[in-house]
Amino acid sequence: MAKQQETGSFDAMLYRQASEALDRRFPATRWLAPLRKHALERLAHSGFPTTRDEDWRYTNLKQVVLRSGEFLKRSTREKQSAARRVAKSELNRLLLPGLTDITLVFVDGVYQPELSSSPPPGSGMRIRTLATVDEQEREPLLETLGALAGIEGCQVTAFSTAFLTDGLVIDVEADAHVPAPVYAVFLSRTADISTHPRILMNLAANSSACLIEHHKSLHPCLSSSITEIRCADHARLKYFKLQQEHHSAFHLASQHISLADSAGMQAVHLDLGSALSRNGLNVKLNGDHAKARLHGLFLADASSHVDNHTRIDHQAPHTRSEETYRGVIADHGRGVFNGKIIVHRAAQKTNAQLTNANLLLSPGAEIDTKPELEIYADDVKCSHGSTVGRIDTNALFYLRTRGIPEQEARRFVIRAFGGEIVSRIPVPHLYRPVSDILAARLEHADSKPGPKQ
Amino acid sequence: MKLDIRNLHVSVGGTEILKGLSLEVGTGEVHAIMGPNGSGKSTLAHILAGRSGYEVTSGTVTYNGENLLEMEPEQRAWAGIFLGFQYPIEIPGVNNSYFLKAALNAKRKYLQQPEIDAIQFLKLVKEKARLMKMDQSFLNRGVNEGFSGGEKKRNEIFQMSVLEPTLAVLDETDSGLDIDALKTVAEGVNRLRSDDRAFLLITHYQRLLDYIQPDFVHVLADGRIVRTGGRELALDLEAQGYDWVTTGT
Amino acid sequence: MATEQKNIEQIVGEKYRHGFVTDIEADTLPPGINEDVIRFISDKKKEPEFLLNWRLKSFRHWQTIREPDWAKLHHAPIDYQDISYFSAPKQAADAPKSLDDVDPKLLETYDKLGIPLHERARLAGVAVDAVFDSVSVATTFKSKLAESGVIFCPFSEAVQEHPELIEQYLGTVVPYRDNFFAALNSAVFTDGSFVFIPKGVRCPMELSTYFRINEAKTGQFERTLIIAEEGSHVSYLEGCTAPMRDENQLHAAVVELVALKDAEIKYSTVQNWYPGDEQGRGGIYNFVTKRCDCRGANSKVSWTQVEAGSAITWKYPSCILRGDNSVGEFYSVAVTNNLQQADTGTKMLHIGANTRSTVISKGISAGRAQQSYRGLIKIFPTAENARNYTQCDSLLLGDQCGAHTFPYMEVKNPSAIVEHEATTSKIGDDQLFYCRQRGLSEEDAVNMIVNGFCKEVFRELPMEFAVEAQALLNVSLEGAVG
Repeated sequence: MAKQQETGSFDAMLYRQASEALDRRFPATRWLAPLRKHALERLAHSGFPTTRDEDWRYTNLKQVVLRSGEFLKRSTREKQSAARRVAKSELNRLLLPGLTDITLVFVDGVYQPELSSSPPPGSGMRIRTLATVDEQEREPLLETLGALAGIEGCQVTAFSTAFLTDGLVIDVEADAHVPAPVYAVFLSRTADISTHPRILMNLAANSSACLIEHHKSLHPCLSSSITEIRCADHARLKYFKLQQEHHSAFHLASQHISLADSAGMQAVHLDLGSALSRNGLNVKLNGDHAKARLHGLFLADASSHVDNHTRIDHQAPHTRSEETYRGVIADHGRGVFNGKIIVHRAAQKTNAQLTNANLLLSPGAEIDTKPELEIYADDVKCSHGSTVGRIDTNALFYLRTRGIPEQEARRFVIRAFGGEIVSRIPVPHLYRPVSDILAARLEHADSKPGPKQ
Repeated sequence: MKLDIRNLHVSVGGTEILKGLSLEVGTGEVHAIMGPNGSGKSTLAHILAGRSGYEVTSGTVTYNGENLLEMEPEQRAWAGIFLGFQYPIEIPGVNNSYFLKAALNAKRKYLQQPEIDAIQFLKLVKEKARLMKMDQSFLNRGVNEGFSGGEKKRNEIFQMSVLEPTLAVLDETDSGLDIDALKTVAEGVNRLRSDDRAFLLITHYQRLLDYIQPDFVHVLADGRIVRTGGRELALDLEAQGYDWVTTGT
Repeated sequence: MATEQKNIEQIVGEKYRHGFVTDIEADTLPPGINEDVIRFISDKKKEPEFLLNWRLKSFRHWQTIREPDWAKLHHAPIDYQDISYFSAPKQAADAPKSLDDVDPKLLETYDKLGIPLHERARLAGVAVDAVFDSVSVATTFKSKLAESGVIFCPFSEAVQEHPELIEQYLGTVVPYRDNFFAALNSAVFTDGSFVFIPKGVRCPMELSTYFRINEAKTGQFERTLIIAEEGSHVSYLEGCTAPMRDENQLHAAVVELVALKDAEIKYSTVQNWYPGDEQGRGGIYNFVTKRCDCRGANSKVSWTQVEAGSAITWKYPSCILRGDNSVGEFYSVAVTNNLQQADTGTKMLHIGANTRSTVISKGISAGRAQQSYRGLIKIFPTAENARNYTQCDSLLLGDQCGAHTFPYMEVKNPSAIVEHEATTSKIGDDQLFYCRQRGLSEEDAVNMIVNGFCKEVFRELPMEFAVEAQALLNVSLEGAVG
């Protein structure tokens, strides 16, 4: 027990120094200091979660916590301006194609206006960074930041908030329909740093917008991001998150989305990188007839650890949710999936479905999956299903009888398994490039196939 | 047996579906109610059987002189009303013969008759099943569980033949049936035709009426009976579609 | 809809039918637990030293640990010093040799429960080992079983007659360190059943035990051990019901099953302990540890349970599928009503190759009850080609109750196939209407639908139990459904 607690504690002195150093290094967001301070106090009080916490039973943050101090120190100390000077050509190689209309680029945690493009005036969408918001906006923002995420409940949220230096504030006006996706890129080019991306988005009544979050790092580092999105009545949100962190990087992210009456969202998550990642997707269906459709694909190979937690709270009547997550686990990778659906007493006539399917490709691979239903209303239709298996041998055999070599047939089947999720990406022109990224990753993952079947 | 529907107005969720429907059905009669989709045919069937979710805003329905609308669904069943469902419901795990025996005994109890004993019951259902050309193994399957559409419809008629209602309301019993199944179902109905029993056949197509000869054909459109005639009316409908009656030309 | 609601409440409101207290003087130890109490129990039962030492070790370990808090259960703290750890009917010293010698009052008790012991024993050919307040008072058909070499006797008797078997197997499936309640049970258990089926023997009859709790404030700590040797087969039935009392009663049983090569054990339970009243006062706290170790290749265990009683149920009959090709099954119906709480499920630990497990769980929640399915399917790296199929369905009757599903799947072998499905719903309005259209009352319709919902589990029960279980389900939900 004593040993367990160790993993939850951290170098408080070092953390405090790092947090205070931010006041000097980032004067434009010094106004965030009270928020950071409060979050750090919360963290100091609770420590990081340990595997004794039910929510973290399969994911041990020990390594992350151990290295975080050093990362924080480096991030607050280093003069990284040289590292941040990215040529547009280099950037274009790293980014998803065709998303140039509204692009917001952060390099090593710092916003890069010269690499970014904002929505044109009159589009009904306004984007600012925390460093550039008007002074009168600050006070309300201090209230709003973290209101959905709730730092009280989650230590990782407190961690991210304790070192928050900048982020995006996106507002979509009532009745505005913004066709171009907002492409938010969080790129880390410097080794051993810690970044804390943040997005706060508001969709006013009857508006629609699409947000793409792309997290990428070129070296080992830590990224801990929080996204909070509010959808007012009848608003429509499309969301896509692509996680391509370095294979030795740590990625701790959460999204918190609330939906008012008749609001709807579609989300697709793709976890393709990092040594250890944890994504928490939290959806609150607060309004009558609100709807959410979530898809996710995660890939764990080498010795990586990929954890996806989703939680859907049905708080109002006639709400619907549909969720499909798939995992591909190879080598000594470990996948974790926890999908929770809570139907609160008021949420009569709820319809909720969740499925999680996982492919284990090699003998050292492991998946821990736990779909959960907590139901307090009676007039509901809820179901979940979870499966774990190997590649369908019948499908393999069929392909081989058609002359496709085994290795290729395997790839075929695995790609089809993941492709189902990619096809749900709410930006059609991204299917092709994302499919290619996925194919390359899967090919790499399955290069050491399991026992002959 | 006497069913008397007068100026019936029924709404669902604030939308009026039946708008002053009147109909009299006497014993021994076979009435066909035809009409386009959305005309209120199924609503009429459900109202007669007592399904919840409908609001009767005005009008009356009397059955043998009693106010039918005040009766619970099972009381209506005991009084001899049978509804053949358009989409028969699956009840997983509840075996067909057990279900039917419980239904039969509930009615007998109401009529203050002794419960049917197991041997008599088995004899009865086997005979009826044979007439409906149903494999006896279905008796031990769950109620409609995993049945094909045709099997479900046949099961409805089979249940009707065991329960021997005085008013059978068959809601689109012919839909989704191939010609052989349709014939079996029609034979089942014809066998039950008698002077002390009436039928209300609700159908979209006149095909069923090739096999069951109705005494009256009514055309239901926009919540009202717009035309009443004999069997030839069904043939006219078949030939000319519903438009000529609904547009009133 | 309004009438439906009302009927649900009526049916849920069915009073507990088996509530009464038998008036038999008991030799009861004052409340409290310490090493002296354990020595007293062990001494009273004339136990060999190894057993006393084991009890003491268990007790010392128990003192270092705390009650588990992970289950979705809420109850007032249990004062373990306020529980009496030993009580036995006065007549225990000269226990009856046959049913005729049994205290007529006890037999009357069984009669009230609708368990005609005589008839049952004679007509159904069932041997009954009745545990009444911790001490066995009646055992029948012993001689017939003895002919085939089967040992079926009270646990305390087995300690005297077959200490070597007890020493060899006790605590090997559920070690005293396993959990809080198992440790407590290991320290203070008073009696239970012992079954030994020798190699190659098919037990000639179903073995059955009725457990009763009688003394107020008396904890009940049974210990059951069943050993099925190579190629043997046994079906064991356990059923319980308890008298109405105002105070909460703790029950912490341990059941250990050992299945050797090619052996098969079928363990069926119908549990109907006093659930407490409509306000949640009283009722049994039922914290049970049940586990089977499928040690040998091709062994098979099947747990079937119908859990209708108790204020709180905490129970996860589990299978350790160690032997290659071994098979574990879990079939469960749990009914909770009023303020009952149940957190129940199973663990299937696949260690051997080609091991298979099936989990079918049906939960029915009514009133203000909360029910959770909690299950673990764990596939070890050694479990080549392991298979699991799990299906959990919950039915909600009324809008004040809850049904929760917490399945854990941990898979470390790529050749495994693990499938889990769960659904939660209420009885369909269309199903109810269909039944009523055919002339069934709302209440009958609900009973029928609920029984249909549980069918996959009931059909796993031995015939006479299946009938009892259906009746029990109807009683539990009578006035409740519709």
